[in-house]
Amino acid sequence: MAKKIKISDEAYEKAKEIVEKKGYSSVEELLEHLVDREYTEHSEGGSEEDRLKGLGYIS
Amino acid sequence: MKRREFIKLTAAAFAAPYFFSRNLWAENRANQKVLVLGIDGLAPDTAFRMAMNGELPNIKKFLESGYLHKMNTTPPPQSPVAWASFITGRDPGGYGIYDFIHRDPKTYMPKFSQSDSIPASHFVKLGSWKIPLKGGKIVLNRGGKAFWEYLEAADIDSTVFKVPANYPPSETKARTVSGIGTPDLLGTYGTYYLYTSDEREAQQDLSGARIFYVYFNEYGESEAEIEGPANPLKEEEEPLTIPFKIYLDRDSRSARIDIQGNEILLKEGEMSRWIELNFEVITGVQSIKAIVRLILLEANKKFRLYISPLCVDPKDPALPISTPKSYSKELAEKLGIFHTLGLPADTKALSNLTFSVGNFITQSMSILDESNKVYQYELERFLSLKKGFLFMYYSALDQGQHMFWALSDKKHPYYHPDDTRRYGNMVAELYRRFDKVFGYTMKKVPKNIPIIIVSDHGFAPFRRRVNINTWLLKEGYLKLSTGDYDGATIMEEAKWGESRAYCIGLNGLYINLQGREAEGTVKPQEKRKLMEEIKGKLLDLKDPETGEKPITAVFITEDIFSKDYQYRAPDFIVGFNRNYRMDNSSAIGGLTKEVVYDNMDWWSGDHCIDPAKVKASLFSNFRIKNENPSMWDIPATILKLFGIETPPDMKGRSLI
Repeated sequence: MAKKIKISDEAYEKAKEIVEKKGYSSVEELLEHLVDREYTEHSEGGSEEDRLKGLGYIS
Repeated sequence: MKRREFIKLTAAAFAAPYFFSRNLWAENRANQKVLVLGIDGLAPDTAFRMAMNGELPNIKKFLESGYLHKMNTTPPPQSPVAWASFITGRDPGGYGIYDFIHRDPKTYMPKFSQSDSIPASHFVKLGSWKIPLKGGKIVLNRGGKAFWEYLEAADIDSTVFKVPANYPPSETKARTVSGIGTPDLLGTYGTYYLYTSDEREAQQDLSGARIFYVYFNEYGESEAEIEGPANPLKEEEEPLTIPFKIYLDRDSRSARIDIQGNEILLKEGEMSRWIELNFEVITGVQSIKAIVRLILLEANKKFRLYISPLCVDPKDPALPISTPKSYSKELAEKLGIFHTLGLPADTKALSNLTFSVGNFITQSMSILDESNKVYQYELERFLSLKKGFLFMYYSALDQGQHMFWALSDKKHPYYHPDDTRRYGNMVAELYRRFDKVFGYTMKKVPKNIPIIIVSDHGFAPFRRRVNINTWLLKEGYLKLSTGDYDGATIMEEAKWGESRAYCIGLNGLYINLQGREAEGTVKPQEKRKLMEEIKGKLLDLKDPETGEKPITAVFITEDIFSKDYQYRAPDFIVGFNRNYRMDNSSAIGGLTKEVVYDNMDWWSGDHCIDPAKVKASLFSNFRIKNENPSMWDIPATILKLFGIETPPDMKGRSLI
């Protein structure tokens, strides 16, 4: 079940701007993505590093 | 060629570029067709020297009626940054790509700059299955309008093959295939597989690789599996796998690999054709298609098998790699399967010593052959059009120079005389291969069609590594919670409440700014003074071993770039001297014992340095009016060649 959250007007306006620029379908989708990304970074640690090493520049 | 003659020609082509001037037609009318080749890493000095020495006869011939200019590249001279400038006609502040690697100011974590993936957000759970109701997507972070969108509006049939910084490809009616930035199916930028009978090798933790131990029975048989992408429909997201069997014949130094109905026979050192794999998500209903190539590295005392990263299958792409979606399929059906990974040559496999130099050459040359096949096909199509544009990108010279530099650099700490004797000067060999591309182009393309051949940067030796995070620590700008800093990372050990600057990226340096960074310490009004102080000290840095200055330029981004994407920008771009580059670990927040130390890696040439030291190449078969061209001038020039005025949002100006 979805939860309601409160954010400031300023943050909401910024979020709307990002939604428009980056092609998210809604502010909700943007926020879910940001939470998901933070969660992945903190819970898995180093996964982005592994991804980047594939470039060869930092292997 | 006599020395005097060489000097005369050198001076003519660079100092007075219209010395050979005959073709003035390009500026006088709207053309019907324009051809652009992008040869990543083509260094103007090397090309010119070799051409005048007679080693590159076709480039020499091109210059008899055409032009070569040294072109300003972007700070930093990194491929996604420079090619994004080529795409948009803007500086990095106008499209928001400043480095291969950016950082998240809220977590200080490194992140890939060119795209973000947004996972599916709504699911229905059925037992252990998780069914997405709304799919995830991948977002291109490059801002700015691509020049081919203006061509599209003018009804010009356009094809853009593998330009970097365009994954996922921006929406267009043009035929495009994405280049650098295109991941593999694990979501990385290239993770390969190594299957080895050497227990010690199997225990290694190698960068960008997955290693598996294989045990053979008395008949020389073994079984293994390829771990693919996570099952997107399973709650635990366990990896999808494909089993395979190996039959080893040590006497003939060969093996047979049976995988999903393919029987692959390989001799030691041989590379397979592309193999199509099918990862079943729901049997018979949904699957993820991949393509791989195998190389049998050893098949005698030891068994070692390399399987390439799981590349997107162009016939049935699981990720968005082309516009229209059917274009990659069209190419694959006409020409056979081709490489789709953004950086297709497996440089990590050589850096990790999984490959020999010979294995890397085999793979690199096959990539170049595939690129040539696509070019030949697309050039024929382009020539058959009444009105059209073609851009063709080549990665092989860039990746080759990164890895082969030490073969011909006796001063490089990783110089290997035995390999040099065996394989020769592979950098020169690659230039000779590209000379043939010039020859083919001149033979096929009528003289009245404008041709532009550009690179994004030149090349330089990478002999010494510079760890900017260690330097910041020693200068007191970065504070750690441990005294044992060798091998530490700023993400784990930085005391952010006491740190004033940090380094992420191959050229990026950031102030720990209040209001921007999660635990910023530097007040906005103190930032400028601190930046000037750090800049001065970086420019004074000396290599304790050689006495040379490792850094020759430090750019303050807010002073030189447009402001559209300043919120993503590093505060500084560090321009290294020739022979130096950012330390690998520093680029992802790591520290090393020494600030400056030897680069002991086959990755021995580089370009992520002071842009003035690795200028790009601009070849044209028509005269240009600006003797100091820049990368961002190219799109305005292409549009002008078609009679289209420069859009106001482009920084670059037409060169004709």
